[in-house]
Amino acid sequence: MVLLIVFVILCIGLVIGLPVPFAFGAALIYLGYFADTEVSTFLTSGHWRMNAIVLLAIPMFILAGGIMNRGRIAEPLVELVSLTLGRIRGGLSASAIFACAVFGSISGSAAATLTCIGGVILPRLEKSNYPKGFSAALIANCAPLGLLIPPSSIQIIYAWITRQSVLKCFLATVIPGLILISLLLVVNFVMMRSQKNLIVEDAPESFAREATKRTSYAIPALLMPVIIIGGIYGGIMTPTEAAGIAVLYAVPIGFLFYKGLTWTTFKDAVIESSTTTGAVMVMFFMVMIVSRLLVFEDIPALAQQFVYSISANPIVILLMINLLLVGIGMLMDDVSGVLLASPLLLPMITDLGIDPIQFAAIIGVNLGMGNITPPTAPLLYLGARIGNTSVNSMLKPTIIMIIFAWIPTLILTTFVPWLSLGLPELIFGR
Amino acid sequence: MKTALKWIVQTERAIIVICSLIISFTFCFVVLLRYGFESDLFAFEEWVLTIAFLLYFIGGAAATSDNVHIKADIVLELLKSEKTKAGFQSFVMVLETLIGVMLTYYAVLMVMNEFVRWPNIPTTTVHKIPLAVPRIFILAGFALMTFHAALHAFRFFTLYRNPDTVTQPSLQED
Repeated sequence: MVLLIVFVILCIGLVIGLPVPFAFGAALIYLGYFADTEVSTFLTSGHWRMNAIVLLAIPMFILAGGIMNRGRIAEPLVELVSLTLGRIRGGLSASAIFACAVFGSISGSAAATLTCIGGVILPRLEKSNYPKGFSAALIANCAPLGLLIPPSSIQIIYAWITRQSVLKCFLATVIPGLILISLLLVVNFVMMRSQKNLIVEDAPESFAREATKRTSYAIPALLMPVIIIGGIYGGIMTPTEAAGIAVLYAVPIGFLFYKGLTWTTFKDAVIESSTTTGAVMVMFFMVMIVSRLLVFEDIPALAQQFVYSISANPIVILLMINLLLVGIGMLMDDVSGVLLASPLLLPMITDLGIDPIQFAAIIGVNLGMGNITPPTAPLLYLGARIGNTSVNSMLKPTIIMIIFAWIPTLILTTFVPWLSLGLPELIFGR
Repeated sequence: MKTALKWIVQTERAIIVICSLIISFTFCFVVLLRYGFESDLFAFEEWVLTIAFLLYFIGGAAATSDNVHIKADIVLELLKSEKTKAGFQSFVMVLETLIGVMLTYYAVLMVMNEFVRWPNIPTTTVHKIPLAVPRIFILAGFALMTFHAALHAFRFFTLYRNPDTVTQPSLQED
């Protein structure tokens, strides 16, 4: 009953447009009044839980993403990929998929990827006669690749909550991410096959010279994921330190190389990123407290009993968990989703014999899909704003991409454990 | 009133910018010390995490001031008239303020609890930073969020009563 009322309060709060931390605050107040819980004690425990160095990676990745956004670091990435793909029908939009994947691996945030890559490529797609709704839908669908290609803030949070290795969780989502990229490419080319009026880029006079020029211009941007990922997996630095280095690396590149940064844009980038950090971390604090309260009330065991009363078949249970996760992803953003779902579902998952590292990948794909699944699809709304189009025009292509790219990726990630466990086992052993 | 508001918003921004930069440079410095000088910044976690709480919660207040907290604007998307939208947003902001008041109250209890054993209040191990400090930042964050939400509620209500008033996206421009 407690769970049901908390769920109803959350749903109403989120649907009417209360900010996520305040919707969870409302649930907390209910729990404080009616479930006889000492809320101030839980605020204290919230402080203790958030007093963790690893979580500082999140604000720093947000700051690095903000500086790169203003530093015009996305442009050379798009230019480089469009050189090879821009000359074929649907190639320019395909280059957006790759650019999102690379930028996502740098920023680790879906919204930052959407804003940054979308801002650069959407005007070019429009100029080349790509349908506006399709273009915005494609970028919105590619933006969550940042949750799957490491380093991902979501995986840092998941690893921290479930006490798993951050590095293993990073690796768990790589193959599902690559599958999703491939399927999105296929869907893109099939959908653009019938568009006869697309303008393709002219071939450069000398491909080799142009390739050298664009590659050398993109090298500082491409070095960023190399430094971050190489530093983390080479054992040189922790994810938090890598995030700090990412900030320090992005500043001179933005100022001196790509020249997108001035003191004013730098100040704006820091203010904007710090405000985003505040929004994310206050939400983090509130969601974590409510989630802890629910665990305290033994809700995971009750949820498990409820699920087992419907079916004991692992396949059915996994399908139900996936549906629940997509529902959570539709109602709230990825950070709150992972904070709420991980502690509640992990006992059930381990009981089913599923490796928590595989669950990291399942949760990543699910929440990514939830973020673009109508009706509550934050990335879809953001995509519509950036693409200057209506959500309605994005619905049909989005649904096609969900059916033919996201759902197959989700099914494969859920039912083929090797896809998420293969890389971690290869590198770290069983 | 407007000057005081502007001062609050600018102070919040100055705090979050300084905190962000300190935290980023600290981690770079830690890596530099480790590989450049084979040394370390002993117990830096204690003060860096205290600064982090200031960033998190004053950043949260700045997010309320700019109305950029993460939310789903489903109902707002469905409403057509600007007047109805302003009325609805005013209602949501009143709710937000009430929730903020309750959370601030709980945060006051949390901070008061820290001083029960005065002068033997709990501190960090090495630098002896009172644990009350980050908790006071949490309280300040909730109080400021509530204050900004109340201002937004008032602003949207004014807009609802007089739809011809020019709307302003954030308090920064008030």
